[in-house]
Amino acid sequence: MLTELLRGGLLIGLALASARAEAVTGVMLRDDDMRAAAGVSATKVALAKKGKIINVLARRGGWTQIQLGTVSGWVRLLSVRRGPASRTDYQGSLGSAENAANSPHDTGSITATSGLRGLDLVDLSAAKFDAKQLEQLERHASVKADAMAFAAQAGLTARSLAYLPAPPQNTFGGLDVFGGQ
Amino acid sequence: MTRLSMLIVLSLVPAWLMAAGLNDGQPLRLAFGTPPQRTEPAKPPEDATKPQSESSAERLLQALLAGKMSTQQEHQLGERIIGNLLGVAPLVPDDGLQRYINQVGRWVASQSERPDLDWRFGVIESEDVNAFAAPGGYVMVTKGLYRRLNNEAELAGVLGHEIGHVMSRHHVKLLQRSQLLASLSGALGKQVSDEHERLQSIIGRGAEVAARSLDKSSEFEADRIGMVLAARGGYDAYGLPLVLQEIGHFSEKDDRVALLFKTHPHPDARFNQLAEAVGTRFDALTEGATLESRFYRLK
Repeated sequence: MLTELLRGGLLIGLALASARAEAVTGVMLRDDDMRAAAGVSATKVALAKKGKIINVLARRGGWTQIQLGTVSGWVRLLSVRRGPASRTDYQGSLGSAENAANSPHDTGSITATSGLRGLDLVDLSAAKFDAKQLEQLERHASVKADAMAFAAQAGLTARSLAYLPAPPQNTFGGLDVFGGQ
Repeated sequence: MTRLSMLIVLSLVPAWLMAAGLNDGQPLRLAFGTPPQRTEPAKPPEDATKPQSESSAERLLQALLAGKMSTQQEHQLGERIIGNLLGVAPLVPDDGLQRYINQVGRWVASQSERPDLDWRFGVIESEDVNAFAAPGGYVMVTKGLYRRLNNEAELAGVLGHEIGHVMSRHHVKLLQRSQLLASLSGALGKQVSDEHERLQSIIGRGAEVAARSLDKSSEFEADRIGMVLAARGGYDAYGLPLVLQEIGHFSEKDDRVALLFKTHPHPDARFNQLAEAVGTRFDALTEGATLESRFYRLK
């Protein structure tokens, strides 16, 4: 009996360890309250500080469930960026020096080079006008009524939403790190 | 996609010229041209390489320099650029795919302030992860970027970004700056008598305008517009930032993102900017549709 319990406990432990190993990590881009459910009306359970490395557990609309230490809760989706922390996260006020030092930068899932050659300036500069391709493009064009019917088929309806204002400059110091311009 | 690229000219633009009312650093005021009368897809010209009239390119150039291009002139300019781009990266030969991206794109564009442009969308043969916009309503997405998308909402967000460039006339303003510089150097129209060559001289060699960098503020602005247009269309508002998050994981050494990374702020920085712009503004926004099941998969 004891052996079975121990074996069962071991299996559960291994399963938890496996789930932990597969959890997607992310970094808090800003302070955000962790809530018991997805939505601003849900109870606050903790505060996730910007720069903290967390595990991402689930997503629901504009909210994502995270685990920070032993606490789990829901924060705004855009308060977290999934994957390893970026250098841009540690410029200016974001993140601690300690986190930055321990950050496994650029170890995401798409790090291997493809060996495929992409478009470059030489290709684009040498491009010749292709009238037949342009005809093909015209042939597939959609008129407004067609697009509206296509949207309606999937239950899409238009809704009002104001454009977003530009955030204050230099909110994220270090944008130039990757700018390349 | 975004995903779309501009480097050479902007680095040459003197500060005094930027200060003379041509700086895109501030949110752009939208100008509304006369909506085109055409509502059905246009039949292609018998020979699209021929200019529409003997002086159309010259009139287009003058309108560009004066910042008073008509919608038709924008379309003429965009047609030339995209015709060249298709010469190096043709459309993916899949009618279903091309129809699909036009239906999604037209719906998203219908949420913009320029719904009646002759919008044209396409998926082009390139493993690059990128997307391109041209004046007048042209938007191309590479196969390499399309393959990275998970659902229709993400496509809507990417298209929304490009529609934002067209809506705000970012590339028109880029070409205007380069032509003003050319006029200052006395190089404008020099030794060019052929109309076809003159139109080409406005946009540069081939489709190299697609490899020029817009300023960062234009890219960030297009991201904000793209997110809102997708959400206005009933889609999940978060498609675009999730795509940026995905692209941000590419190695900077990967050839497939070389052009995108060269001409745009890093996707991580763009995600951060979007996050900051949204803040708590979407807290009350109802959940949009992702339409993963309807998303057209590449064959």
